[in-house]
Amino acid sequence: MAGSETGFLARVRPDLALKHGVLGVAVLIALAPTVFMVLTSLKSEEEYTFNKVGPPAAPVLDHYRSVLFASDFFAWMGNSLVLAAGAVALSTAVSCLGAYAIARMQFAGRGLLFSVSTSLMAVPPVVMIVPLFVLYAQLDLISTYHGAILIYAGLITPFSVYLLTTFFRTIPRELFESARIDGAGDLRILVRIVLPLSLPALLTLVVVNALYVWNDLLIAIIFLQDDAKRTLMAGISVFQGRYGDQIPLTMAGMVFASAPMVILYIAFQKHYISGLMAGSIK
Amino acid sequence: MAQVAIRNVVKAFEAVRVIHGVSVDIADGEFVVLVGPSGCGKSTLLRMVAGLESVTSGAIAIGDKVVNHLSPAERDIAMVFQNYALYPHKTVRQNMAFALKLRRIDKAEINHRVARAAEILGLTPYLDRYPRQLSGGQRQRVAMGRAIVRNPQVFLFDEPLSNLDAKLRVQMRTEIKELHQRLQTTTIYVTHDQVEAMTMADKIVVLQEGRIEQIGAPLDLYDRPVNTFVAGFIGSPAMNMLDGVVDGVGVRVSGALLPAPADAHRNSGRRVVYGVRPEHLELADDGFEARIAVVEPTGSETMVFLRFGEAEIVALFRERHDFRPGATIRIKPRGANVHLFDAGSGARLGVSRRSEEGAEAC
Repeated sequence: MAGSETGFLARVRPDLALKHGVLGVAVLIALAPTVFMVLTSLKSEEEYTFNKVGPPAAPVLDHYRSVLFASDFFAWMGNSLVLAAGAVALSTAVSCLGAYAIARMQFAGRGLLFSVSTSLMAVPPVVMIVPLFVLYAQLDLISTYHGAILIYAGLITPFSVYLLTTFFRTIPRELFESARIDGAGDLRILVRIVLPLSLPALLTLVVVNALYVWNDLLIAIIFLQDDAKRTLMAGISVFQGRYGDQIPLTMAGMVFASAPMVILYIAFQKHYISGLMAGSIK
Repeated sequence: MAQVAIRNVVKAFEAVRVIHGVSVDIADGEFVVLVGPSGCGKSTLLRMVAGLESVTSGAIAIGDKVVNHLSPAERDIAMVFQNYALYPHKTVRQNMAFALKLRRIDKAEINHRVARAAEILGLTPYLDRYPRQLSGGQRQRVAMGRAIVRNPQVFLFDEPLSNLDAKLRVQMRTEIKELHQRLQTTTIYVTHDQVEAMTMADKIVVLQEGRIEQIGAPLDLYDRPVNTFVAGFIGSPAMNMLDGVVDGVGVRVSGALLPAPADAHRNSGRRVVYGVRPEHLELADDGFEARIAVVEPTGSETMVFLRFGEAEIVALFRERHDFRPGATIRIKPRGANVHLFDAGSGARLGVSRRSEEGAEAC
């Protein structure tokens, strides 16, 4: 018994304990808003007025029922899905082609193109709102799916190009050369060799970009003014305006709104195959 | 199968010339090794044959066709890379079949060719594995299998054994040679390892700084190196090279008169580099005196590092002697195994086979 006790003590290493302590605090901080969201959504309006932080004394599901059946929840969600899927698909397709060219093809202005594309990441969307709105009004693109998808795709593409270019560059040059000798052209090399090897990067992109479009409020409110085109985030945010200060109801809406992204993330998590590249060289 | 002709090929990366007008003729079925120190341009030359680098000027012909402007796929070549370049997401079978699929060869034929290559290389049990599940030697074999199934005109190897450990390297060396004897496909093989070059090649091309130093059969290069570079590069341990002056029938080195080739007297008074291979030195009472610095016995032979005046000499003995560091021995070159080079240019003196072959012009 004594032996196992000293064994246990020996296993508690101060450096590991410190690491785990720091990580534990970080996890708590990261999870706090989620916990608050879920707990609040289960409180009644009355309870929330005097119990802001603590757990609900008498949990209620009324708010969930209201969100699902007393609002246009499903229509909003459908709109968000269309926008997220459209923007992510468009942006991913464009980014793959662009990143392949920047990473592996020789042409004049390649470095400049990459610099410009990367620097676009730093431009805040807010500064583009007014000119974009004027342009869209002239082109009759306000309150259209394809108009909003174009804006979203434009906003998420610089990061996608940056990430994919960096990733494509890590693929050994010999694989490209080998495929070329085998008789593959650039498009085939991209589709048959590069993309399968870039699965981790691609899935990361899908999650990150879908999350961005899904959570966006700015573009959604300004460019999709038609009630029928309202997104989930825009819809939930109007709970507050329309029914006064209904925090628990808003939180219930947020729980539903976060669910698809959490599912998306968890589903792709298992595809982040480490060592996918192992064995290609050496 | 086809012959390959490389004619006055120049490669420049912008203003920097890395290959200066190189010409090599490779016969149908020949195994040619390009060898030289790193940066000599051997890989660049191979990549130009493959079509992975453009040719700045000159011509490369495979068969009767100049291929300068053909894409790699149109050249009917197969290449094995140093790091194998296997597709990590494809199985061994898919790796080997990829090129054939792209050519729209029918499935039965693909299966037949893959099965045959796998059998030749002993890969049959591994066809459904991924590259990451294979050892280094097996991956190397898959890379070769990928080349074999295409049945190309020319095999190109770019330092294919450099990533393997010493024992496996020797084994794979034999396998590649055997494969060549079996398939008789024209092969160009790049290495920096002169032992690989000597053991595998029908013909060796020694390159330095983008120029050909010598082309010839391995033993020709060993027996009659055309200059001090080739003399020092081919052979291990390297040839001893001593500064001296031709003095009548011998060469005076550090005060001693060493035996010289019969025709040396024609160069009397000339400053030369006196070259003798470590294995061509023998103990002799009438030899020159040298002091033993280090003795390295390996069992099969003994390497002895000697001080001779200012110079260091290596001698290799197959028979066993009781050498002691600090002792003095008398040695001399065996028979006529001595090479004389001009001290300035480094070129071989006397009649050489070079003028008979005439292929070394560069």
